[in-house]
Amino acid sequence: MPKRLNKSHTTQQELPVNAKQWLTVTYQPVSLFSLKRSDATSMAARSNLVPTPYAIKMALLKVLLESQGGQHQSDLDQWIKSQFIWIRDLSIHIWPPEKLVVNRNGYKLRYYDQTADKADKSRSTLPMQDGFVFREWVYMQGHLQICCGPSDRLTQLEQLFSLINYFGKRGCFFQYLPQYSQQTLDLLFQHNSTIGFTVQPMDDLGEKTTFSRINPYSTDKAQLDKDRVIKPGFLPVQLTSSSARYDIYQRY
Amino acid sequence: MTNTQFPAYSISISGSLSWQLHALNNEGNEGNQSLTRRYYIIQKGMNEPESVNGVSGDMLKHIQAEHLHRIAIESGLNLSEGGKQFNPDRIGYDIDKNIGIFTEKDTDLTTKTAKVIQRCSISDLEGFMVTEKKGQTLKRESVIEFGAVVGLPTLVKTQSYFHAKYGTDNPTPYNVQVSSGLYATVLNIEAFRIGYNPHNFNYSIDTVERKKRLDALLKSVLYTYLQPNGAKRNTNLPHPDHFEGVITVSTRRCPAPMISALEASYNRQIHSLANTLNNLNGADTILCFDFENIAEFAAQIETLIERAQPWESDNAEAVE
Repeated sequence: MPKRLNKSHTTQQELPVNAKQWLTVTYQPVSLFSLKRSDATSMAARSNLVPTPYAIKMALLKVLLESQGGQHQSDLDQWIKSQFIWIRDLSIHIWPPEKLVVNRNGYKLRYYDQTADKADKSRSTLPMQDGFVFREWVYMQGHLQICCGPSDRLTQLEQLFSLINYFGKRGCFFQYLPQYSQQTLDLLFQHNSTIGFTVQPMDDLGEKTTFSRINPYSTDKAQLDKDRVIKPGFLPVQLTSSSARYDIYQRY
Repeated sequence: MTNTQFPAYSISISGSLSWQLHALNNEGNEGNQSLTRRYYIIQKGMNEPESVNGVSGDMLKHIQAEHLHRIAIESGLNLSEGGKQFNPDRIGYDIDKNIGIFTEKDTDLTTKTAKVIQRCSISDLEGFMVTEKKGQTLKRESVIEFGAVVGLPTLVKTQSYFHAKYGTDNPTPYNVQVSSGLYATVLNIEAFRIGYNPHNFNYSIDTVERKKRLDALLKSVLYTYLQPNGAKRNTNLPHPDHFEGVITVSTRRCPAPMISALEASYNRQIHSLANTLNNLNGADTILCFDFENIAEFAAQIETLIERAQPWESDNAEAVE
């Protein structure tokens, strides 16, 4: 398709010589991290080792709406539509901290019996079930880096990242470190997967999804594999030791 | 620093806390042995994991909510029936029991959320979720969040103690794990979200009410560290005997910085971050309130209650 190639070539030339296209931000993990795998069906299930692109994009959308939504009340739908597209289209790469310890903690839970009909208002009490579940909490040693792009809105993106202080489950704090932010022409880190890798399913927004599909308040429903896609992610970490209570991963 | 007021967008606490002889959080039992919560962490330069005692953030949140409930009743804050009863569903209890929260005209989430915020301080501050079949989910995220409390390796000790229960028939022997030592704790309050209705980007209660709720929240945080009401406290009442760290407050749209006390230089790092953020966003964006012991911590909370105003808009500026 010569026409298309030509177009992209022109765009490249129009960019200033020092155009930055990728942004790398650095966070210091503050607390233990937990983010249930999105394909989990159990109440507890295993945690992802690092935040996924979906979780990161949702965090970006949250701070975007909180910080700028109020100024766009009259044209909210139009505005969020355009903002959503550039956030959705970001390619997100994650550089895990040096060491990760996955803790498996036991929890005693009492929960409603899912097989009983909760809608039966004549019942004085709802049946409860006792359960014992494991939940994973990840202790991270070192910094977490996120590289995303290509985008021509890096200043806005950096501003949004600076407003985020947790990923995954609430209370899983990360401290943004402003002095480490970098804007570069190319992706800052690239893992050589021939050395080795650990697979983590990485969920992301689908290429054609819309804001109303992923908005939990909207009646539009998101479909798996269309609006939320789960691809294998290759993390540059290796499992170095494991026991019934913990796994330790080290970065290559 | 003068005694002027300042807007509080976000408030964080990072500190190291000493609890003696507590069994605040347990992971279950094996036979007649109760097992405490443990976390495995790995420190810089180490290859082997270290097993430390800890208390989950959920437990701290529960302790804090219990204190807030009492404070809210005492200070006459608006509470729903569920809120008054400290029902875990909060406003969900009222909705379930049809205690006239919504009229037939209240169909959209904006109006419903506004009514919930006005009606129930605990639902506003601690969050809630009400799911309806075929209906829209009404939910709110908590204004306050706790990270897990993690023991500092080598400075925390857990031991098992023998006890016996004497009933009328058989005496039952059992063992309880009790821990003492220094712990790293972090929490964050998104003060700007007190009374905030995310559906219309406005506040559903006035500034006076928001300030009352912020004060109640700060007081509940103080009480959480003064009196940690977790598990097994009837026989293993924890002794909080030291707390040092730093409270950071952001006066502009920027999260208040926090670093875990698992890092030995956490205090220095927080002050350095505060300087960087002040250079980037303007002087006094971040205010730091250091404390060296529990009494100083209480005094700093008192300072915040006297001087911190809930943050409202992007135009709000620090007035140091």
